[in-house]
Amino acid sequence: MATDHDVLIVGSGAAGGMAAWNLTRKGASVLMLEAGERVDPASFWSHVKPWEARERRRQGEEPPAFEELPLRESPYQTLEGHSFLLRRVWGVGGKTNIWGRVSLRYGDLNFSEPAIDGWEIPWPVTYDQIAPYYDNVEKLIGVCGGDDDSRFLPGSKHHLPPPNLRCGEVLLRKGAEKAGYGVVRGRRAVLTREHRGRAPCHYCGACGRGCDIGAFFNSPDYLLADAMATGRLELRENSIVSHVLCDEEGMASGVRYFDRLSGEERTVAAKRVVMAASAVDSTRILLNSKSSAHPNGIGNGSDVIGRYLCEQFRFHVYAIAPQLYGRAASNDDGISGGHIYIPRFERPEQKRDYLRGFGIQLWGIGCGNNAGFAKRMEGFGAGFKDSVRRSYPALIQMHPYGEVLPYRHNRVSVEGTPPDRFGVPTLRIEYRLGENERRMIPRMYDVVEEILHSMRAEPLPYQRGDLDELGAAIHEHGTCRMGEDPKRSALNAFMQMHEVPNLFVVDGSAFPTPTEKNPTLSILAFAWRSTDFLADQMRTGKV
Amino acid sequence: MPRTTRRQALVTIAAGLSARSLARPQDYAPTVLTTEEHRILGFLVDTILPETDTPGAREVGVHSMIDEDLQSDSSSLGLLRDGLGELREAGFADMGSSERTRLLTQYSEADGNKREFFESVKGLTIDAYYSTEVGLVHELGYQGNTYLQEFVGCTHDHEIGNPA
Repeated sequence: MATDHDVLIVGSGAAGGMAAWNLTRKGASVLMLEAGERVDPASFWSHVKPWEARERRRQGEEPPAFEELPLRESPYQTLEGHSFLLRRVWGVGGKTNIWGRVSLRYGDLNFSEPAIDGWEIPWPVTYDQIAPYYDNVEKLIGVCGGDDDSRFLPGSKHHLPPPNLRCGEVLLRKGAEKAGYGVVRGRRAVLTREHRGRAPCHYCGACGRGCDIGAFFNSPDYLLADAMATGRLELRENSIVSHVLCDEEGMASGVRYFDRLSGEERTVAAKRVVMAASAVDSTRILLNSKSSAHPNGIGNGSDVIGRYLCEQFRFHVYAIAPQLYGRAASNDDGISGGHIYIPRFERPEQKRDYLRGFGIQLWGIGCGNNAGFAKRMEGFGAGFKDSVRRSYPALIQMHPYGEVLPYRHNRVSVEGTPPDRFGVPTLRIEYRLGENERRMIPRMYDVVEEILHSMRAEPLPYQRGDLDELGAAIHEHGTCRMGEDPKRSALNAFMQMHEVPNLFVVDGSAFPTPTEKNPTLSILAFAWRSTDFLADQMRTGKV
Repeated sequence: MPRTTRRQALVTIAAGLSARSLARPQDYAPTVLTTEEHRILGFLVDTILPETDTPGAREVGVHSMIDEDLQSDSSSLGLLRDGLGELREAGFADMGSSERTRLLTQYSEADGNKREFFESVKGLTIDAYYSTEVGLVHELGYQGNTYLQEFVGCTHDHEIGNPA
């Protein structure tokens, strides 16, 4: 097999986009395979009001169905009684088209804690090593935020101005601070002013449907466009990669993929392969890549690939702020989602009955484009309708995210699963919370109740202990983790496979812990660092 | 010229919207529910979100929107059918509004299927009603999803204050 490209990248989201951007600007030629298609921002329903959406559907129109393709092409199974919500976007840019934009640096605490508490392996990278890459990423993509700085959430000199607070956020901040909890400005990859020639946000609040002007970071606008402009990136859409191929020595030699439209099976040779298909899909491909050199899946002599799946668990509490009850409604869209955040506050030295901790996200405060909260309110009739109207501007929401420890039994696997239409085994996900998480939940509820009480907000009915469906945070990690010890990790600190030096895995699967934070900023920083290393290795002829 | 009341204006808007989309709401022919089920559902959604200074759920066609949505997601159809059948037997459509309220209060305080039926219809009604221009803009005052130069945010000096 001949190859024209220096590097083959699988996937075009945050990780793949960053790899392509960094490698092409350093002179490498790149072939990128993406399972889905380009999504035209003009097709986003960013400015379609709810009642117009219904009318459009009546006319047979639909917005881009971001999450439909992977469910149709590559469904997954879970264990009876243990559901896991796996949300994937196949399409150029992947989940960055519609992501939540929360951009929190992991702190020294996040990186050092696993080595101290022993769960499960240490991070092979320190905060000081990755900090310059956080700087680079923030300068490149534009992240708004405040000037706070702590061991839980390291500061940045590069933040764009944070958006002003909504009424409910002002009150919640006062309440939380009165109760002793620190509140910081949200950090989000949204342009609150012009940045590197890009127009700023116009506060339409529709980020979740895709931004028609690209005012928040997304891989196509911010990374792939630059990579394309170098003339060194070839992007092949509708290419569903099934296997990484290897030569007799066990080195990666290319990939097999299926053309989604023609169904044709193809192989393409590669000198170096970078996996960036999202945590779970990259892992699935690696596990399916069995050969005599790699009988357990490529690079998986250690049997760690597929295991230690971890992310966060979360729940949602709604409340009404009496100070805002019955006030006139306002336009609370802002940059959509929370303008404030409550970072983790529990110190590892503190005596408590669980490890790690949680942060509290605060989206959905104030007037939104629906009244779903009303389903939690008692009653019906004219009085109920009036109460919904009065509550609408007074809505408070709290969403704590707790860290899940990596457990060996939490895993994705492909043994004995039904094949997809190309005959490739699909996924099984086994995922359960452990004792540590169960001990954290009551404390999370305590803090939420304490803050709501402190601001005098009245919670809408909820059940203490209830959790959102596992997987709903969409922050999967751990299934192809990096570490110093090749027996307990698949990748080294530069996300290069211990067993297959010309194979890199640069998405969230490489993170040995999920932390309590949203990972995209860190995925970008690590993918940048990894491909700096790869480019260096290529230059010196090592891979 | 007589002053148009807020309600009259909104009814006019509702009718205009419906004329574009559903012909007239009363002309909507259900596609999943039977005509009788659809008719009873209309009275039911209107008991949940009735006419006040803005139109009620029936007037804006919530019962028809629910029928429309059942075409793509029929997961609640069985529950709806059973509940609407019960209401038909109870003569719900011929009751006065206070009698309907009394019956629905029983549902909302019951256990099991009755309660589940009530919560399900209430949820569907809330989702549909507050997605209409009448429900979201005129009833709640939604001003979002527009183009702003600047997000001003809170300009008040809110204090937590003391418990009332």
